[in-house]
Amino acid sequence: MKFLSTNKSLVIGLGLILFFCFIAIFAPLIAPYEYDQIDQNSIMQPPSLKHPFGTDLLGRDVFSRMLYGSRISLSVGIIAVGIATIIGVVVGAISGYYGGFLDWLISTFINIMLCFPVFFLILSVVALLEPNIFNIMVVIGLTSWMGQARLVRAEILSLKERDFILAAKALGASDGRIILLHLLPNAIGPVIVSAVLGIASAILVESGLSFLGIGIQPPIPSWGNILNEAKSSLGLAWWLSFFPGIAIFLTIIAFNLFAEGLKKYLK
Amino acid sequence: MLTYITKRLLAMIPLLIGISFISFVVIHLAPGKPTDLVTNLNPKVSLEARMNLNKLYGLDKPVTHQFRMWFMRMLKLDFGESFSDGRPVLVKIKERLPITLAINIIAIVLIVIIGVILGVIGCVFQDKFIDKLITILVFIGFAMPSFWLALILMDIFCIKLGWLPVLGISSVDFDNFTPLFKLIDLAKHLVLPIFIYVFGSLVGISRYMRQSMIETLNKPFILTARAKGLSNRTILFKHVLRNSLLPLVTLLGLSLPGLISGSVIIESIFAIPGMGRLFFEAVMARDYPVIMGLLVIGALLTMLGNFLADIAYSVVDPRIRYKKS
Amino acid sequence: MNNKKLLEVRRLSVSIQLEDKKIFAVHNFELTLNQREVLAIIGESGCGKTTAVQAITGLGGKNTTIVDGEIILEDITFSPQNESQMKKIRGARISYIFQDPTSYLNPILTIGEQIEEMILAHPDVDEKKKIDTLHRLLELVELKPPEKFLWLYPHQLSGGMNQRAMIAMALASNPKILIADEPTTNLDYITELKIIKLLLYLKNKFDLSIIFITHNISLIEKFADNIVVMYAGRIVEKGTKEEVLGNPLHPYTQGLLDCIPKISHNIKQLNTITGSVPELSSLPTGCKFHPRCRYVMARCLEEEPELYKLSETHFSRCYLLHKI
Repeated sequence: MKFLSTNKSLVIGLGLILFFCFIAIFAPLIAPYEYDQIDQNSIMQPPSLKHPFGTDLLGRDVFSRMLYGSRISLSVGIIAVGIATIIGVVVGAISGYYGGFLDWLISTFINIMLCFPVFFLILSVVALLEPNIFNIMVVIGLTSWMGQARLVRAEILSLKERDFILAAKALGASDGRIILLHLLPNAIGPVIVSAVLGIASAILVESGLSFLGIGIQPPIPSWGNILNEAKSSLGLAWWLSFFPGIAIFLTIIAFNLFAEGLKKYLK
Repeated sequence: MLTYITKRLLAMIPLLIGISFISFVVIHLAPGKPTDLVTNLNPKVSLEARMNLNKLYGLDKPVTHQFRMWFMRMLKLDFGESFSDGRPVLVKIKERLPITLAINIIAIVLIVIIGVILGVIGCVFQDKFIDKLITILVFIGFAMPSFWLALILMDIFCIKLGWLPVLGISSVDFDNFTPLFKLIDLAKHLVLPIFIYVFGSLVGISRYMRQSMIETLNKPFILTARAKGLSNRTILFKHVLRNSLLPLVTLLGLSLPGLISGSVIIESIFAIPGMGRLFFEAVMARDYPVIMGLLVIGALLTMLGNFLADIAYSVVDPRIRYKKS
Repeated sequence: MNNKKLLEVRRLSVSIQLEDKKIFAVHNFELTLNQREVLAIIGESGCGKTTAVQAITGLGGKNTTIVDGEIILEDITFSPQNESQMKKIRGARISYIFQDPTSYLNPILTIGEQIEEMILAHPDVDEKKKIDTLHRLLELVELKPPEKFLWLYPHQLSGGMNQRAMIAMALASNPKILIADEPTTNLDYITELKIIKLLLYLKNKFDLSIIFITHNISLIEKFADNIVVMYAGRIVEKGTKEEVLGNPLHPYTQGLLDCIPKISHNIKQLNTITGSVPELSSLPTGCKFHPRCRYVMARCLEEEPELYKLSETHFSRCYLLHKI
């Protein structure tokens, strides 16, 4: 119980995250309407008892669309970061452990990737391929692993020469074993924190893409593309911009708080 | 010092090769040939034009040859012609670049000034109410999606209050204004976009400055400064602040790609004719050569920005500028 | 020669707030310093020497509180807890030099700028004389040619040179007292001797008094007039150099001096004092040295002894001196 009061960020962050996960998982059960259910008699209605978050240009219930949208945001965030973390950890571990030319090559590659403004790169790829959720997840994953790689590499470089590693080597442990069992567990802390922050960032990118119209395509709802609709009806339907905006905002706060709490906890 | 610059310049060569490599891979990601895309969207393009394009991309030659061609063209900044209007890509980019650069530079200047001030306040009043308030505010700026903030501000200031214009960078009868009015008109159009850039990016610099100054305060030479009987103001500004300001240059360099990225959304919302908007338009129209050109130019700008930041840092930090004698 | 009493420190006590507890780093620290005197303070690491001398001018870390104390500087009383009073004394009347001079100098300012800062902060020098004084100061500490050294940065100089720069900086404002906290501990033996010689020279030339913290007993033999021995935040013995070195009263001082291997003897074994320095957060009751003392008596556990007097100048915080 004492723990709960000393690490408020962790608790609040986790609580919010679990809340969003909950509504994402149980969206079909909670949503009163289908996300693409058109009702031409209820176009652009402000929030009411029948439609708690109002309706959009096609008379679809915003509340239901928001619930389904949470599925998109969270799944894109988690899977994209999952991909990025796996790539990053592997690349960083190899680079840090083996050193030498391989390290230089990989580090230069990371520097090259970091030269590209991330959004430009993602936009280019999504523009060339079809803008579906799978492509978006993969692209975000493939363009955000560099931070993790650097973290892992730095940790491994600093741990490599320590006595417990030299001892393991002297005992004949294979490279893979050393990396997996000895080095990585020590590096895992910062990687997890970075991953949590990365989820927030990935959600922001997906929302941005959808907002521009290059991400998730309607009728599939994403918080970003609901905001896109708000753009065209600026000033007329405050509920179209308020709810998705607040949702993205709270989600990012949730993951950032959780990451702060994790940092404190891992100290 | 000169060796330092030379080393950094040499390090850029693998980066250049890498940038062209990655962009080359990106071009060839699309299913089918680049020319197919053209002809699909623009059926008016004649056979001759298609053959020209084939030659331009060297699509009939082996991949390594294609890459070499692409690399040489990249060095010359020759990205071919836009699919939308046939004009050379470089010309289109050149038209838009100054606006984006200007807005970004103004934004960076403001971010630095305000960020440093907030950082100093945060350090001096550590853990007091004002410090916590600043932390919360910059965090809100960071967590708020820029496009949402844009919509809200547009709604309030442009539509409800009518104080500011919605789109573009100049009003209709701009040319008839006096120079002073032109300036005011420009400012009115740019206030919101610049505000959004700044508000969203304050967190980095303000938190860094605060942290760095707090750490510097505990350094031994600050004890010396106190033992000398110097005033608190002198210690804070001459000793602590200056030491913490040094790495700012590098921080700025690192935040450059983020600002360039952000320009896509902001310029699209506010219809500002800059690089970001061009990118958005090109993506909408699947205007290949322009997309590639902007991708490469974006990367080159980042690389250049980092290089300049590195050099600037080595100049202001005497530990690097003057090696041990 | 009757030297004037320059400084008197009374009842100086300092507490430090650690994460969950408060420790008394310095308890009842008292000394007197006369003109042209070199006072050495010795004691093991962590005994509170640095905290004590910094507290004389109210310096201390974030979690340091000066609980009690007053200083009498040239017959005027000051309170170390009074920051505005202390600001007037620091640099102007009492200057410091520190161990590891390179860390204690600002890395992004030139030596010249940092010395000049000292001159400007305590203005007795007008603008025209400024460069001249800077040059003179650098020459005094043997950083020649001064024009060259003015523009150099700390990282471009060796430890010894930086220490000289620190000395120049400390003396730029003409203080009467110099507090030197282990100024030569990080330097090699030859450089150390040179710095000590420099300090002696400057002491005589400018009528300086020096409080000198060190571990090095042989240095004290050459350099000091009086000695203060500290243990666990307290002064356990004080006296003239001849008294303390020739006739150490406190068992701790005896132990310290025993520890010095004498080259003339055949050394079979190095001596140490049994036990180790206590944590300041969990000090023993009564006399703080009693767990390691070979003369320990029942009284020693009950109540901490006062500083008992052998002569006008020689004191020891030990019941051995106070047999009743």
